[in-house]
Amino acid sequence: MLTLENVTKSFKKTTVVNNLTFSVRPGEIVGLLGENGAGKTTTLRMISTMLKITSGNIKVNDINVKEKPADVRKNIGILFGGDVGLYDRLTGRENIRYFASLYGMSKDEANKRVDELAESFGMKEYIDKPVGKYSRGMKQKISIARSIVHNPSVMLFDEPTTGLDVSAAKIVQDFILQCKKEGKTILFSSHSIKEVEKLCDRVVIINKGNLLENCTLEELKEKHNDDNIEEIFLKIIGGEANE
Amino acid sequence: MNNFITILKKELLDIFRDKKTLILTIFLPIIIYPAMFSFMSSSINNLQDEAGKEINIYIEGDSSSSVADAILSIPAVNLVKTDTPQELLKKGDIQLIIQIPDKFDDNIMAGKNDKITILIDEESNKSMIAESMINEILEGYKNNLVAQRLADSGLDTSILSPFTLEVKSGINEGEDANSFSSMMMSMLPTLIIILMISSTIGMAADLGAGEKERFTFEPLLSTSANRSSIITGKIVALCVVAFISLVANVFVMAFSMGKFMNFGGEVDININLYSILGMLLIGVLVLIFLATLQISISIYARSTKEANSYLAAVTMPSMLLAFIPYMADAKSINPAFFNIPITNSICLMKEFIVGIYDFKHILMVVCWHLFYILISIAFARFMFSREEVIFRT
Repeated sequence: MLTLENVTKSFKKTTVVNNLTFSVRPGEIVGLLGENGAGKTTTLRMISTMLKITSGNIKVNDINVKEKPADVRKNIGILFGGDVGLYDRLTGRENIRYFASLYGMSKDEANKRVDELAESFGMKEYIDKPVGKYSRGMKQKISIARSIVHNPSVMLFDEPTTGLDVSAAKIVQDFILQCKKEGKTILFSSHSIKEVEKLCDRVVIINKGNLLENCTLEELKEKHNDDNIEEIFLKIIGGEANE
Repeated sequence: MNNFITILKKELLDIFRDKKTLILTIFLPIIIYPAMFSFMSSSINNLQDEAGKEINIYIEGDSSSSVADAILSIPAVNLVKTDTPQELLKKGDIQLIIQIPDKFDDNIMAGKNDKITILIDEESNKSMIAESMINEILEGYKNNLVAQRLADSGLDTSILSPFTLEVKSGINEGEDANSFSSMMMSMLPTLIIILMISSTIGMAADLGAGEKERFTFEPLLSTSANRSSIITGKIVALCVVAFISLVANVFVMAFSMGKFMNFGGEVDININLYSILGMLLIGVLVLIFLATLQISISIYARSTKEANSYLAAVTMPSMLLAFIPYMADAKSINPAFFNIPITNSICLMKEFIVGIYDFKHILMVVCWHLFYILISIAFARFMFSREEVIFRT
């Protein structure tokens, strides 16, 4: 369970996230929608304790991010978009094991978990080769495995398919749906309306740090009397749909 | 603690798998130093040999005088006839122009004091060596002349050498004074510090800004590892590799100096164990201070390219500070130098090399370094805690 209560983040005099309140239940995928600079990444960084909250409160499985940030991080897995962020000179196994150790897993636990992940993602053939020699898809799988090595119950996705080709994006989308099946709490940040429509149960739309909508896709369509989510989104954030 | 060890192990593994870093910081010096020192040594010896084989001179004035004959009696000396001697000197075709006054022999016989002028090309080593050889001949000629005058006056020529002079080492019994070895040893601390400063730049850029460039920084920060463990792991990893590189560099440098450099005598690099331990201690303190500072600066940069620029800017003043005591005499170092960062470590190393263990100086330098380390750690922690530094875009 993930809960944000009146969360505000300011950098000096600029407020990037303003009084944000929403929650995500286990087994639910909530899409965090907004344009570039809307405050999506800042929100995810606050949830993952990388950024401090200016005011308000965030709880991850009832653990307060201000009080026990290290415990919160143990409960969270993050998959970032764009570059996969792996160490090219290390093997896939070493990359995943490194993060497992940093999450406090013992050597045996980490090795066992890496074997499980290698099996379930079909990485056994290449997991002991240096990551620098991998294809984009192979790297993406290692990156996914790294994000769940500590078996977190809350998953954060920060525009995870940005810059990916179709097959690599499919790997990520399948993984998100798998997380939902496993009952994980999922917050999915994106500016791809199609992806949100395909994956999310509910959307939280933010613009310039302010919460504009927090409802299911059906409720959104009903409220705006429109079936085109893209047009609704543009209407909400004050833009005009390009025909 | 566990996370610190995990980060340290991973960083070391990553660095040691980076062939480029290994080649540049460890293997290249092992190949370069022997080659460099043997090349330097052979170049100087060749120059001396070459200068001894052929010296082209031009004599202006009395070229038929006895002093001219004495000069021309050296088999290597060739007399060049030309209308433009200064141009030839500039071009390097002749090494010296010797001006001998007209009727030199007559004037000397008459007891007049005449003046011989040697024009040299101070930009040419060959000209300088030729000058030294001709000077020796002229000294001999002058002594003979004086001896002859004394003999003519019925005086004993032995009054010319009332004593003999012998220069020996007064601190190393039974050894000849080897000023070249002493000079090399006195330069060693500066070389050590410069090597330390320069060898860590690339790695520091990779350990800090490299994480941002590879997009591994956010995944790292999102783990349970606290930021102190991350920064300490990185600093210690940098120190370990820089220390290995330093030891390899210094060992190969000292070995190469002794083995491949020869200027008429062996270069004896002889430092006792206490001095080596003292130098290592100071070296480690300087390393921790520099590595912490470099990681803090590197983490501020957005890319390794930017980090390299910032680190170069910080390295430059450090290099200048390293050169302040470069030629300072270890036995009479200005006390103020023991309060200047970098300079003080070199001064203390210089003292260690010559066997001076001044407790006051050791305490001063160690305390200063502990202070620098504390300040740099506080700075690193400050940088790592600043959101605008970590997520600088």
